[in-house]
Amino acid sequence: MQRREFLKTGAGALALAALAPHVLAEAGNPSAAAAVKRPLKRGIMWATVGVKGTVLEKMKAIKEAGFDGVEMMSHMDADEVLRARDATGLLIPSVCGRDHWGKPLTHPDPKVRAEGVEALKQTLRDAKRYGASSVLLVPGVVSKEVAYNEAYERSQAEIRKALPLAQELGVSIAIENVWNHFLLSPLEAARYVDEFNSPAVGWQFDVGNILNYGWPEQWIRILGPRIKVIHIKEFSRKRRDNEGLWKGFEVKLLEGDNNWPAVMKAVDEIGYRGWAITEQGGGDSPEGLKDLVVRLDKILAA
Amino acid sequence: MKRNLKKGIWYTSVPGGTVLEKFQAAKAAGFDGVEPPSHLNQEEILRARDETGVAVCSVSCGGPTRDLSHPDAAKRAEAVKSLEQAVREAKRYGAASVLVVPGAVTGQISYAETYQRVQESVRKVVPLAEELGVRLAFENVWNYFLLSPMEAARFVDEFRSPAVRWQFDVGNILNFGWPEHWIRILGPRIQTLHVKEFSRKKRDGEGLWKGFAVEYLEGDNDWPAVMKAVDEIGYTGWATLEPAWVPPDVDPVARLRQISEKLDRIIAI
Repeated sequence: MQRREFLKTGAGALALAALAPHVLAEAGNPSAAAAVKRPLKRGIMWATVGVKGTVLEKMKAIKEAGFDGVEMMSHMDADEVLRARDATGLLIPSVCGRDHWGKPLTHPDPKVRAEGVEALKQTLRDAKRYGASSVLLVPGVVSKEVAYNEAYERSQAEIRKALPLAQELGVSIAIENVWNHFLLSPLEAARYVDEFNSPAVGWQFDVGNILNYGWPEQWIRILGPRIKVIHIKEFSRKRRDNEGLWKGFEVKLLEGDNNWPAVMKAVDEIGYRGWAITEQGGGDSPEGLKDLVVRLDKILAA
Repeated sequence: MKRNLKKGIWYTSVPGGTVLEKFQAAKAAGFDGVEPPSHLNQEEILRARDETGVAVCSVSCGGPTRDLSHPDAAKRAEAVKSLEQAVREAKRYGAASVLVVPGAVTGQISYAETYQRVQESVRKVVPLAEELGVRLAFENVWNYFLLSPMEAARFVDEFRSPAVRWQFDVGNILNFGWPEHWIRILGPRIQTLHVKEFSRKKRDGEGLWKGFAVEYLEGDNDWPAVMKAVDEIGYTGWATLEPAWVPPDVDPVARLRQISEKLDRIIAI
């Protein structure tokens, strides 16, 4: 086993070493950029905006950096959010639930699950007010206490309770792939969505979260039209392998192991024309926000 | 030892120059069986088995079967041929099953392609396995495929054959799940157990692959929980050591005895 794994790692490391400079070169090439301009709108996840200030001041910084929109958190002061949105002209394409990690829909205690469903419903209502077409949902968490099959059954049952409201409001529930030890197979993820038999359930695809155990371009093709929103995030397998699992996230966009041309090719193939929203460190200053936009633009032109 | 499990050891982990020496070393260290790879000299294996009384617990076809999802049909056909050979060897050795790696997802071979190709390829071997009474046991390895225990169970069931089962590797799961969950979900599909350790702490602090560099019973397996799940599903087959790590500067013969004792402790936990 050890020998087999070692050989595989060796080959993988070679392939990645060969890839990274190519990605950077292609992304940095203006003529290549002009050739494949994609009409995707550019957003940033609210929780990654680290500049200090009021909601309005933060939204101004986001706007000035060049983003088209922002993915808000649920359970904020909706009036304040709407005023800042209208004052800056930013769009709000999606709302991320506040409680899906703390009160997961897979919790062994049905009371906690019920609170999670209420939070999801509030997130849907926030989305409706903001003009967002979907909400980001972490569907639950597999843990030592919650087995995979329990998470599967409980999360589907709880999400179904929010479906009538989602349909009534015309807001989709977009399930995100996160590091929750759940829905680890793209085939299973597609099946999980399809089992709801509802156009109100789709996927929020996070590119960087996949690299630890798969290839995002494969997920994009398999999930296809189920994808409502795309999160743009980087990951370094090299840092993971040499420094520790979580260090893999400590890398800037375009400097990790995402094969962005392959990712964007898959995005084109499925005809995705929605939002590309960064969920990435570095957004704690106006310059940092601008740098995110520059890198995002390169990715969208990759 | 309160559990009715037999002690096995992965062939490559056993010191010795010849097949017979390896079987003798396994016997001396207290193992009941050895899991050899396929395509060895069959006469030598049979002689070593008969001379020592050490059984062949399973035949590993782990290397060749990685190509069951290869894009080249000729490569897949070779993997099928190797697997058939391994099934015949298992029959000769009196082993109940063959270890099968269900291909591999890579940057070039997608998850969906792997699923379809591995099923199609292995279906070609099922008639022979049924005829000879040898089971094909898929192992969970780090091949980026069948990452969900529910999907793994479905994958097995879709063959609709009693000859298709699972070889469950405890340590390979810890990076993304909990082995005790997998054991309950796979249940009667489990044909054999591979006993391996893994440290999430070393993975997080030193790097992904360092997770394997840890002594048995000193990693993050919750062995009491694992063995409780083993009891619950009524499993009574082989517990085969597949060490992923060897401590430096330890005499190989002494090491074999050490890990045999670790296995005793795990089985009795």
